[in-house]
Amino acid sequence: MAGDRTTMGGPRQSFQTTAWTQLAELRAGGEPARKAAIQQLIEQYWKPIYCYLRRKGCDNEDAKDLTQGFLQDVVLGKDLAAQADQAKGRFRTFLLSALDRYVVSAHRARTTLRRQPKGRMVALDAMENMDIPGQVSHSSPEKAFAYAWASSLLDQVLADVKATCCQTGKSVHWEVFRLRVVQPCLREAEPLAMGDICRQYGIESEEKASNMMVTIKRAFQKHLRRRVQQWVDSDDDIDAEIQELMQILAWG
Amino acid sequence: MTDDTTYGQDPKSLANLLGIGVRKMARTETDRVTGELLGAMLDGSLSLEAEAADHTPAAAASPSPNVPRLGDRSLTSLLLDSATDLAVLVQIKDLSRVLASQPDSEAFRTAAMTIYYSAIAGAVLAHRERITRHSYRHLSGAFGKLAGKPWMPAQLAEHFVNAKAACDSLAD
Repeated sequence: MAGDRTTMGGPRQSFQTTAWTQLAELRAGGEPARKAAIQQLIEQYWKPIYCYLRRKGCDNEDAKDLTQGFLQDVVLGKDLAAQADQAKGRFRTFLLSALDRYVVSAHRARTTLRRQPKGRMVALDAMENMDIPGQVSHSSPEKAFAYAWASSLLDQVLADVKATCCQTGKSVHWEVFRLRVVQPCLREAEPLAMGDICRQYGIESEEKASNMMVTIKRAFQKHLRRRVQQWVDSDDDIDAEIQELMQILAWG
Repeated sequence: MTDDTTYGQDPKSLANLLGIGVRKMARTETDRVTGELLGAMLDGSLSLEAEAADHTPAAAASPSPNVPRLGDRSLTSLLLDSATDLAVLVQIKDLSRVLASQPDSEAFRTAAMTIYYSAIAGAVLAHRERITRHSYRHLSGAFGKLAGKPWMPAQLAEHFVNAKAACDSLAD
């Protein structure tokens, strides 16, 4: 999916903004806050919505149109914000339920799916080259949604961590973490030997490099938990949300 | 990594990466992570000051001029050096106490609590001072337990053993 690379991730410093707050901003906020909320919501959620619709049986074009329609009519409209007033629990589940209802009503109404943005929605240029990954192409719609949700989350967190490392003079720390943790995890490859990393980056000892890696693992944990915190009711639910995502992804 | 995207990667790989964010761990895993975090704190990779600032940004925004900064030296060298100023040990103790009381993972709180006690141990050994309300008897017990933890680095274990002996003599 080289063509699907994206710089999406939203503002890095908006950790304290919850998804529920974003919806409230849509309804009651001033124009700048509303625009920022729209941007964040679209960037964070379009991929899971698209993947879900593809696995629901929509072809590529219909899935793109429905994704735009859902974002336009439901997320950016009043419906989702109104429903959020009554909602409790996890935002991921809430959004998926709203999407389900939207798909049913769209089919029932046999609405024209070829929609044009009405001027208030950010164009989803990134969707042009979008396709569903092979690993998800036979999974259930719910699993496809969770997969894209987790992928967007991890992309944002990795970008957060890298940016923090660069800002705090820990670029070498980041490289150690990337080479020893992220790449082996994602590429299913043996990690580069710590000795080789030390030589490459002039780190005095393997123990030192190991401690650098632990430090960034901790930063990764904090950023990940802060992101997840946006979608749950309480801090206690963060572990449950992460573990549920992990369980859903375990089909791969 | 941010030049890439995780989109298109194997779902299990994403699950593995998400697993780093989970705090509830098995006992052996907690011990292992405690040792890792403690090692990072001791060598300065994981800064107590930065962590404390992260947890209590208001306090970090207006540091008191009387509060000593830990500087570039590693915690290991500060804690084990008999020449370390008492005020620095108090600062280490206070910072680690803040971190140990945060709603963080058990491994992180245990590592922070170990630093807390190691600063107190340093004050006892280097200055014959008790920088806590804990009694020497309590400290002797705490130091003895900590010295035997499986994740304790050898240097720090020895530090606690020596401090326990000092507390035992001072308690008499």
